[in-house]
Amino acid sequence: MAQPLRRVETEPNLFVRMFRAWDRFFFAPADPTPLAVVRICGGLLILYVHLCYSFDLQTFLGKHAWVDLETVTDLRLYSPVQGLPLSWTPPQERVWTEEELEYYKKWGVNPQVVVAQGNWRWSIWFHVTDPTWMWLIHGGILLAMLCLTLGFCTRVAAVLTWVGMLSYTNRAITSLFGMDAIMSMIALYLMIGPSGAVLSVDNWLARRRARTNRDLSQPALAWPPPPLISANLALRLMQIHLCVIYAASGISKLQGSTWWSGTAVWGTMANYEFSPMNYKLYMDYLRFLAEHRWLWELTTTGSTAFTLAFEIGFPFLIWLRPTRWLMIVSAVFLHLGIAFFMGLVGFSTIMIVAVLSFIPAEVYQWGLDRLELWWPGAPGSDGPARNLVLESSSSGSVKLSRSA
Amino acid sequence: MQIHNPRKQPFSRLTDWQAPWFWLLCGMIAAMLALAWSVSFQEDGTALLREAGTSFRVGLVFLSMLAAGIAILRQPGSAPVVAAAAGVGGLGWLALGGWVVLNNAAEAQRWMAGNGPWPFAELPWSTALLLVFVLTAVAALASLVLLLPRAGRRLVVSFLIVFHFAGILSAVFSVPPAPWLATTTWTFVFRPYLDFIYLNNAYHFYSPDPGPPNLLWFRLEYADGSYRWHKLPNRDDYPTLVNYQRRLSLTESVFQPELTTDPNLMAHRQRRRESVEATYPAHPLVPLAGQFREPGKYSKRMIENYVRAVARDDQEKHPERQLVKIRLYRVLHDIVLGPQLALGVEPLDRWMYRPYYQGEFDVEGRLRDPNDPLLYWLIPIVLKDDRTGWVPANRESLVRVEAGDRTYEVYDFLKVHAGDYQ
Repeated sequence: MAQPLRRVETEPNLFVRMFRAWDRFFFAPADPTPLAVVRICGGLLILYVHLCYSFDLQTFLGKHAWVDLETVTDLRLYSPVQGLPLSWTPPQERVWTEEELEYYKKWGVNPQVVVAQGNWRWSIWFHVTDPTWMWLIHGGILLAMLCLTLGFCTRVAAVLTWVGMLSYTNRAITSLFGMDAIMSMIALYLMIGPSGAVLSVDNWLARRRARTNRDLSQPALAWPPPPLISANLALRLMQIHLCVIYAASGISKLQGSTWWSGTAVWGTMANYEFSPMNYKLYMDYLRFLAEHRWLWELTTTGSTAFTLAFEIGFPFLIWLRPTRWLMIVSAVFLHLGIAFFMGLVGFSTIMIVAVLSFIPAEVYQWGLDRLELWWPGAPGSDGPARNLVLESSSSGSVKLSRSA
Repeated sequence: MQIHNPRKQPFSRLTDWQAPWFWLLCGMIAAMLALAWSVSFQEDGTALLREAGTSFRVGLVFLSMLAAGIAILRQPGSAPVVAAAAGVGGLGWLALGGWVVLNNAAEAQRWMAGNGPWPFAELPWSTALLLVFVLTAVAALASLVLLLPRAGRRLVVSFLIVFHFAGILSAVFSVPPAPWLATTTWTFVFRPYLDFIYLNNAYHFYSPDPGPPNLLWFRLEYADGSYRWHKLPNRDDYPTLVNYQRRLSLTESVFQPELTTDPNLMAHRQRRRESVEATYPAHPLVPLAGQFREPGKYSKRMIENYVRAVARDDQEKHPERQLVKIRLYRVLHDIVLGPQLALGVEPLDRWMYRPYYQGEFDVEGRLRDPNDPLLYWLIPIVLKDDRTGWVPANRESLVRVEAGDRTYEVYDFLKVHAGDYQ
């Protein structure tokens, strides 16, 4: 008797495998819990940083701020963007017009190489300068940030938070530092992903509604929460962006002689304006190091090498299971060191928040289960979805009860 | 038996606050009110837009965008809902002044092509116009993407992911020395996108080397001859670390040097500097090339702004005193090295500071003497060290400093230059 024909499975080609890997990486559904944790922690810091603007509202954002409105508007509309020649032939020199001469005197740039003027920045503070209205709008933005942190009307709050944040950064252009860049990155991805799907007031309200309606099919009741494609997409974008940040930071340091000689970290530890050198204990520590050369060399060279190894290695090693936790713990140590030795507490905190996106969802669920947290949306002893079943009796009544 | 009345269904969607169409209707009403307001009060569009209840109009547009956003959130996967939200955004854009842009489309296109500045700067809330336009365009594109099958949607999103990170990488690689490809793609392709979402950072933190911080020391002089120093930043002046660190960022913005210097001009400046060598010698330990640091145009503008801000703040706090001029020094606070610390040097020792004279300004921030021989030059503060044998001709600079249980002497030409000895 003839053997039945068997379908021969061929190995998919390289492009198909790459396509499937790409699809799994970006579009496989994922638990939104890590995104929610980033939302809460990032939201708290964003709220705090913008609360601090309350002390300096007019100083940084007002009409007569450190950079007054007239100057920042001038920069926004007319600042030169220079372009490199698009061909090997340099542009032909010609006599400048009066307008071009004036432009050169003002901006110090050859107008013939200017390819654009101004930038694409926007801000509510370009248009609102009345102190009363500024306070009202500032309060409104803080409220949006609070809502984001708590996870109330999360999607709307996330968009308003992002719009609000960028209004501050685009107006107070000379008072920004790394912390603002990282915060804006996180706020952007929190807008994209469903950061309020769990551990949020929204989720708590949805669970309450579902319990009231006795609708056990509602996803809000499920724990662990149902995976979502948009959650995975937002997390992956954040993770990749963080890898780019560390890679750029680490590789660019290789241009510096002090990073090669192992003394770069001393340049941050002994920077009076940043480090806590105004405290005697810290000065005594630095002096102790300096008076013991071997210890000084070990400390500075070791910490310099650690910084380089971590920043350059992170984009590669974070994706491998055996080294992931090593990288996460190293990141926390690095940023705690930056916070202590350089005083950059805000920057360090927001970087740690971004690293939280790499912690697997199961770890958060394990932690939340153990703590029996009473945060809205988290499982507690009142967690309805776990072990809850619908039972019907012979009389036709239906009740919710816990299974064994 | 309940009779199903299909004629009631469409209207019930408009009154049910949980349905997206309710919010779309609200948004549309708000946007049309704003548009009607702007149209009904215009004769000469641009001039009168400025006058005609701008705040009210902007508030209505904000509410319409909010309502459209809520509608999308109620039903994000629905192409008609997202398209309708884009329509609301479009009406809002017109209400903000978008119809002026449409009427002058050729000028808008010239600006997009990089020919000249934004032509509608006179429009109030012009940056809101930009924001609303982009959000509306995103919604419109999203509504088209939602019509695609799943594979098509994923293809579009994948393209956007690649575009997004290509843009970020172009910013990372655009810091000199930069490849032509990175700089050109950033300039011509990604710059508007990165500018708009504030992702233009190159993330070159503390590279190539961590350097000393820049401080700004203002010497305010009053009509009665008195003076006071205002040093920025002073850690104790601010309620939080964040506020303090924002001032540190302020001072870093005046450090961007002039990129090109005419060698003839440089020679002329050196000759001028030599004319005051007897009173203000060059620093013996810093290479001469490093003793002149002219800030670039951008930094000079920031300096003018900061002087004005300090002057204004002083006059608000001390109206009884008439401020007449401000001298400004950009001061590098050197990082104390390990061997120095071991030998007993303190970070706050006077000679750890390297002040560069930025000029004398009036209260409006105007530079009074651009031909000052010491403008942008290092004013030396040198530790008296008999081993080197360096003794300046101007002994007036010698100052004995008592710091706790230590005493040392410095040749402090900053005090001489600033006039504190007078």
